[in-house]
Amino acid sequence: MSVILRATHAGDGRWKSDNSVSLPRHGVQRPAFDQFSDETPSGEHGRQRRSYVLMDARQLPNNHRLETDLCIIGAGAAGITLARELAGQPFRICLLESGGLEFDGETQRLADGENIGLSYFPLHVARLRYFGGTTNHWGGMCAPFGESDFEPRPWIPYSGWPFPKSTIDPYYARAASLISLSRPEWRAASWNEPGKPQLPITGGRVATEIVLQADGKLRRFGRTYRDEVIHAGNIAAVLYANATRLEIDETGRRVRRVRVACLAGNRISVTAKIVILAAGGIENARLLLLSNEKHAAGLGNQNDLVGRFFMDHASLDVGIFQPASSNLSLDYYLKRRVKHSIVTAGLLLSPEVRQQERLVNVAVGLNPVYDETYTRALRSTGLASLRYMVKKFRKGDAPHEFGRHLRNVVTDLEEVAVAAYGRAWYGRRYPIDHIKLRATFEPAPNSESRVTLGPELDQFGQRRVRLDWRLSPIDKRSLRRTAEILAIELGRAGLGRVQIGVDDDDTTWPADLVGAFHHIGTTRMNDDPKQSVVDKNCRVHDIENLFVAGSSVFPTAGSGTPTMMIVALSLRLADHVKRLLR
Amino acid sequence: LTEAVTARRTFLTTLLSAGLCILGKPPLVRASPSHAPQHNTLGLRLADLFTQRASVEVIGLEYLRSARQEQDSTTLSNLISSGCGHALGPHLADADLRECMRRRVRQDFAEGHILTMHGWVVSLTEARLCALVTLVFTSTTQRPLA
Repeated sequence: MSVILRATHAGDGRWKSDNSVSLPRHGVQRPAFDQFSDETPSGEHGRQRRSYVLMDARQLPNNHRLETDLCIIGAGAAGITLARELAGQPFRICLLESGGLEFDGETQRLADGENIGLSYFPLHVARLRYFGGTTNHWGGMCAPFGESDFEPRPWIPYSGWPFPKSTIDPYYARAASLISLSRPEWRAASWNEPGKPQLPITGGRVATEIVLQADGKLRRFGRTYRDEVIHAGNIAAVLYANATRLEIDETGRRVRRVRVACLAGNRISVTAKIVILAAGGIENARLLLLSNEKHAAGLGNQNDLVGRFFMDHASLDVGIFQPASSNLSLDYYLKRRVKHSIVTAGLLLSPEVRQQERLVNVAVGLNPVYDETYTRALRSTGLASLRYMVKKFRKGDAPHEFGRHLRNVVTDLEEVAVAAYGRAWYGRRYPIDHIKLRATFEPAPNSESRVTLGPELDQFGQRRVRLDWRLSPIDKRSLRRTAEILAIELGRAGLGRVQIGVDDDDTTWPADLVGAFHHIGTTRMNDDPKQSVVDKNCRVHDIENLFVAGSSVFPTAGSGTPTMMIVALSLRLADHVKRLLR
Repeated sequence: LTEAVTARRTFLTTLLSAGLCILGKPPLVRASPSHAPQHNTLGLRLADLFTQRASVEVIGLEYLRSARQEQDSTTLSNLISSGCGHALGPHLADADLRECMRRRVRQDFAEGHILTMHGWVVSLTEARLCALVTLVFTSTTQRPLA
């Protein structure tokens, strides 16, 4: 197979090369190519030639230079959405991806860094560095941002977006389609089902809402949209290409070149009219901070804001709800499948109460803990073996290791009998011992919660990140007060009693606090450069041709989940870029 | 940790029994006697509704410590019955007593008359009920208040 080391541009917005090789449609893991074609049986002349452009940067010669109109750094939800939206446009796009098409441990280690703040995930597991980015392990759960997320909330410093929700609504609807939410409907009433009642809480202070929704069919952006991107004709996806630095021209106001390094040892560069950073909430900030040749503090960091305001939606148990009846039906609130959708409901304070009480957004999920006898029975090995054997028998198959499974059932006969009794007597509604109240909250923007460059170096000799994740007293107070109001409303409704599990010290956090892998806020968006890194069009202040995509531009974490908003903002940015490059 | 868990469960059981009696769930509540109780006081009748008398004291004592002006059963009885629209006396059937308490508790929550004890958010009436029962038992068993 010949190796093509340089892609040229045909002048009509499409990449071309002097020769092409026929490979299987998904034979792209094979090394050393930048453009090739396959043949499909249909087409005007019986067989249609489809070209697709994928480059393996490791095979390019050292100091090789790629020229393009638009360079997108990162092929995750943001980068792929942008590329897909700009497919077929009369300009060239170079989509740089740190990894390949599959997971690669050595590339993944580039994401490593140091945690010095609140307990957080190891950074090399919090993001995925291969085509599709972190959508490759995304659970698909979505929740929308509300009107109030976009409005300034005087009690939350730095709150408010530079545009109202109506600006993003059209893109939001399209984002839902890209994510493949088959029924992007969020009103609680529209998910009612017979026999699954909402809790009868009246008075309007606490409401039941759909807090998470996913489609039964997960959207891994890499796999789902790979073909669309690489067949676009005007897009070259460059794999194993790690952007290491953005080089500024002599005016100090334009990115001239993106420096790229490969773990194979070679280094290349990409020259582009416009550069979009779409590498994730931590790596976006890191790249700006690392690009400090002309601007000592890093690009866009004239006001020391790059990397600050790091946020993640955090969760913790805020109390125990002891229902008045052990037969209380929680089916509406538990994760459930409704046709193609999977929905989970929770309890939230109304916007009016949040405003009156000066709180951040908190959603409370209800996690039942069943009677100890049934819990033990449901977790027993014997029951698991019985289920496995029944499943196999139903399919007409012989269970693997039949003897071992049979022994398990006999050994745990009591547990199996209890489970069978429970199933026969209660259906799936086992008696509830108590219900854990699990809160997920939107942290208030906190300038001390930040990503900086640490002393450790990665494989390229570049400084790794240091994450100092912090929360604010208003977050803790919001959790406690939300639990209190919930306790009052549940008591008022006669549903039971709540034991608050949040202490009075607003400066400390319990060990069960956990993030959600949402990296938000490190290049925040606002029209005032003193308060932000990018403007409302996601352009870095004072850098004419540098944009940022992804959740790092969110000024607040919001009450929704980030992926759908990332996609929506990327669609909006794509429209802006189209106007600029036409 | 074990003590903490035990304490939580005890407290929880108390509230469960208190809550259930108030909400009128008979299976977990001691059956009311078919004849008039020997000591026909509100405290003893209420005490009969609890399954975990020892646990009631946990709440009752804590309330009595914080509300020193309510440390006699007459005051507590009056305060508890004040929201029911009629005096709580021997004429009141157990079902009516429960209904009255249920209404009163929910009203407490609606009006914000609540207390937080060991983290549990309980209504003022619930706390007073426990205090009353505790007082009655203390006087019956000649045990001094802690």
